[in-house]
Amino acid sequence: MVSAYLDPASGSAIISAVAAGAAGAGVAAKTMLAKMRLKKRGADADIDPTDEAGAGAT
Amino acid sequence: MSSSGEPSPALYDSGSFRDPTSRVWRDGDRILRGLDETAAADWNAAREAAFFAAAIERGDIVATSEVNGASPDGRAWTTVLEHERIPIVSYAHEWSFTMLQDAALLTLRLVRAAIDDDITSKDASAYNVQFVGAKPVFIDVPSFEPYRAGEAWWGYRQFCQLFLFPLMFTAYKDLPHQPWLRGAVDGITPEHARRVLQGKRAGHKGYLSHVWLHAKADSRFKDGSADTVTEMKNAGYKKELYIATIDRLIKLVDGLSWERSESTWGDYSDRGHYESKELLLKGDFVRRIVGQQPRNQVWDVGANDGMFSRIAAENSETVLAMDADDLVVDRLYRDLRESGTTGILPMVMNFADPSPGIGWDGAERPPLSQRSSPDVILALAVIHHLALTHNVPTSSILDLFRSLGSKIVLEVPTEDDQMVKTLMRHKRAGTHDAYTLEHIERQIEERFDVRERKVLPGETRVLFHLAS
Repeated sequence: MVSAYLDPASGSAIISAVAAGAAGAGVAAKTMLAKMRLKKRGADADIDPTDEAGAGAT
Repeated sequence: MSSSGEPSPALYDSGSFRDPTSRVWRDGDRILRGLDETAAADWNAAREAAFFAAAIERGDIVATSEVNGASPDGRAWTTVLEHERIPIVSYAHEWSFTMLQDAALLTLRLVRAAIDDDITSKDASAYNVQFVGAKPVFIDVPSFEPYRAGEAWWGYRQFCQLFLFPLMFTAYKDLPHQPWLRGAVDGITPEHARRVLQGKRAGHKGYLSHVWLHAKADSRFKDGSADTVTEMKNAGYKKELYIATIDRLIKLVDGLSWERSESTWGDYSDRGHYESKELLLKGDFVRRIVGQQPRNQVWDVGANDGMFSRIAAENSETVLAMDADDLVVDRLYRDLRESGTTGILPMVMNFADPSPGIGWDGAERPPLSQRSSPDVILALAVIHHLALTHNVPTSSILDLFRSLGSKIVLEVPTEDDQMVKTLMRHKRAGTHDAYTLEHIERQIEERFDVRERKVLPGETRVLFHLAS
């Protein structure tokens, strides 16, 4: 459950882990990689496979 | 209550709307707070925790009790709390460096103690802390909520923006934090902090992670994705890391120091331009006027080392010791803190440019005039600075004092006074010819009932006791 009223700013949350030291930096790196993978997957999903020009160009 | 079920904004405290689960209102002198079902559950969890009782006992959290109280708009809050009243509300843009540092450490230490009881804080605003004299007190009781495994500290970003970055500005760059916080109610963004703190001395403690990386991550992960919590949990985020974050922040903030030792008025407490007899007579004059009856609030404008604030405090609940010089306010705060004095609130305030209302509608954090109503104003050796340094007409200065409806203890240095001559030297000839005792005294008589007039032994300074 997320009940805090502040916007969960992703960058700040991740950096708070970095601030914890080496172990936290590892967690932050894994989180960033996961986010980038998700973002890439999202971008790939946006590409219309029927679009011969590729890359979702219109 | 509005038709949407939201509390009617005009009936509640203008600064309590951000967290929708609770609102604050006044009932006469009482400060009441309504909690909805969620906030009431959080309150119950927090107040049963060991850290909370200990913090209340120490006076670190404002004394709070459950009461039966009707809300101003008839809304049926699940729980109503009553908080002990803070004599004068002040804000971070009115605090000195050490005051901001102490407020930051109080916030962090409470968060650190809370997590041992599986309680976290959902925010970390500098507006959650108030000062009673020289003691910081945490007032935003609904900030505490049960900790959910795997979550990072929600308050981290706010803590950086409203505490850590402003402190770093002063500690690392000798930049006063007050104008930055006065300029933006949400504080300094990581990117703005990076731009100011970057450069040759960017190797300072905390810069790399809290500022540089923070700014980079901010721009890279702009989305406010709640999925981050799940992603961090999956990546192995644990309570131990939360604790390590707070512990390292405490060490960082505690280690920050402000090295500046000189300022415009930093040596004023030497008061070399006064004869000691004059100071004694001024002190007696202040003691007699303030002591005529018990006072609630006294303003000491241009308080410097607080010599006359201390005298006024002998017979008033709270003295607001304001000065534009952040270094002298910081020294005064540390002196008061060490002596355990609670009746004097130090404040960084330029009377020629006082705190305006900031935040939503300019009313979220109201101006000083709406937060404090003085019974007596001490304006000792300040009128010439307002008139000659800031070019405020003496008639305007007197009109402002009169509008506050207080008794005034006014010291007027004459045109023959050494300090007046020094200030005049920097001015174009002829621009302040009207600054004469005769002219100012005529203006005084047009506006006030002059109860007493006393010429000090050097004959270049005159004390007035004025009533509207």
